[in-house]
Amino acid sequence: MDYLARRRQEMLEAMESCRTGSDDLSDRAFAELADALADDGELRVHFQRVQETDAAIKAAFADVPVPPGLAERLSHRLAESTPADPIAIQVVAGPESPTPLRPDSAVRRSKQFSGRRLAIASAAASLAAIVLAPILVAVWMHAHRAPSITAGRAIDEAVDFFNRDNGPLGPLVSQVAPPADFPMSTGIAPLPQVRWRRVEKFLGGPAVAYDLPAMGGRATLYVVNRTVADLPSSPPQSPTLTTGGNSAAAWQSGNLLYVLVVQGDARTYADYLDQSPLT
Amino acid sequence: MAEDCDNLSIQRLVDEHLDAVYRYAYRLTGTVQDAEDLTQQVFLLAQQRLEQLRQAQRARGWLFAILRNLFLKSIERPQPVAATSLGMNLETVAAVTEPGAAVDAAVLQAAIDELPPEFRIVVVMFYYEDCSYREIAEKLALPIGTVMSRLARAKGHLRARLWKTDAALGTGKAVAGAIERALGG
Repeated sequence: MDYLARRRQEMLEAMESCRTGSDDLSDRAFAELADALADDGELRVHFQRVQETDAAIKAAFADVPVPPGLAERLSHRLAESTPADPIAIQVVAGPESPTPLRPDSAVRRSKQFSGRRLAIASAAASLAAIVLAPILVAVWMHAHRAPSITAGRAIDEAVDFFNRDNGPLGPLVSQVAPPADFPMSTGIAPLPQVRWRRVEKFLGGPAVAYDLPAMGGRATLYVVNRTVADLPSSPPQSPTLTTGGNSAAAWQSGNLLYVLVVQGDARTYADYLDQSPLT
Repeated sequence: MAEDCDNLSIQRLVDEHLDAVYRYAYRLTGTVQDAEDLTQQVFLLAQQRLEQLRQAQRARGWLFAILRNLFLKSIERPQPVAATSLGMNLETVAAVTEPGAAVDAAVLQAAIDELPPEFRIVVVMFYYEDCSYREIAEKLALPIGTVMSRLARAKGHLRARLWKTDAALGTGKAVAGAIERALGG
């Protein structure tokens, strides 16, 4: 499938992923679709028809008659399966609970032990704190003596940040120039509809995030003034980390650290890289 | 303030959520008998694990999660879905019927039943549970791109069965053209 066909399919998929009567279209991943709908009346009409059709199907989905007597049959089965252990229940109830427990309370008897469990847990926690305190202090001191981070940790933190990152959409790069001290990486494919925004704190410092057009999911390139050892000078062809549906990699260009995080697999990640041959 | 579950009994869950759970089960399984069996399994399991439910307000979502897990486990050796089995033809997906067209309940369920389970659960979560694509991805532990692709294919399949939208290829091509204009192609 060529690039344009794939992008076309992705926009159709984005359209199909917007729930009727929701504000899904304001999702950052759909920014490109929202722009296209604002610009193109024909597409807008089609989107409206998809939404209206969805509303009809959605209403039909809930229209299922419930068989008569189902509640009674279910209650009978539940009563049959209730643990019948009156001795255990009585012990759990204890002298302070003279009221007989209802049958379904038996399955929750573990909650009755919460006080005893809490006491044991507290004692264990105190002991652990005494044993672990010197170790934790040593680890803390070691961490603060070594301000640099490893490449792996930088990528881990970047993915974690990306998963929580829901900052407002910034302007298009083509309309408002991004800060010159946080330039877009030359290793990224020349894509349309790239937006940028400032990030107050990313890996310990101010940064710029470039939100790339969605190819199935979100993709953001973070740029921060930070040096991390053992990183390549250009984006790796394969992601260094693939986890939780995200793919990510980092590279260093001068004082700037670049981290690309993509929702998708290694193939999706590679789609964001500039594949033009070196000259 | 969230209502805690100290006074929440299995009977209350049945009273309040039985119909919703049954309808969900029916859409997934496609038969009254299987739906009833699945519904009973959901509440039996809920009864055993009631202590896991922390807030009464989350009861429905919790029961739905049990139902999904039971359904997914019930699928024996799920067959990989061939890309061509629900081949997303651009025109088929793009073409939609005129607004206001009626949905035939029997045709709808037959169309759902034709979907492979991996597609069926996604489209039922979308239409019945009103989950966003992100929520579906999170709850099923699937990549977002996979969810969006399955959703688009499954929806296109339902529309094709419900309204024979293949006949409206012209509309699909026009939409494809509009998208290409938007992409600058």
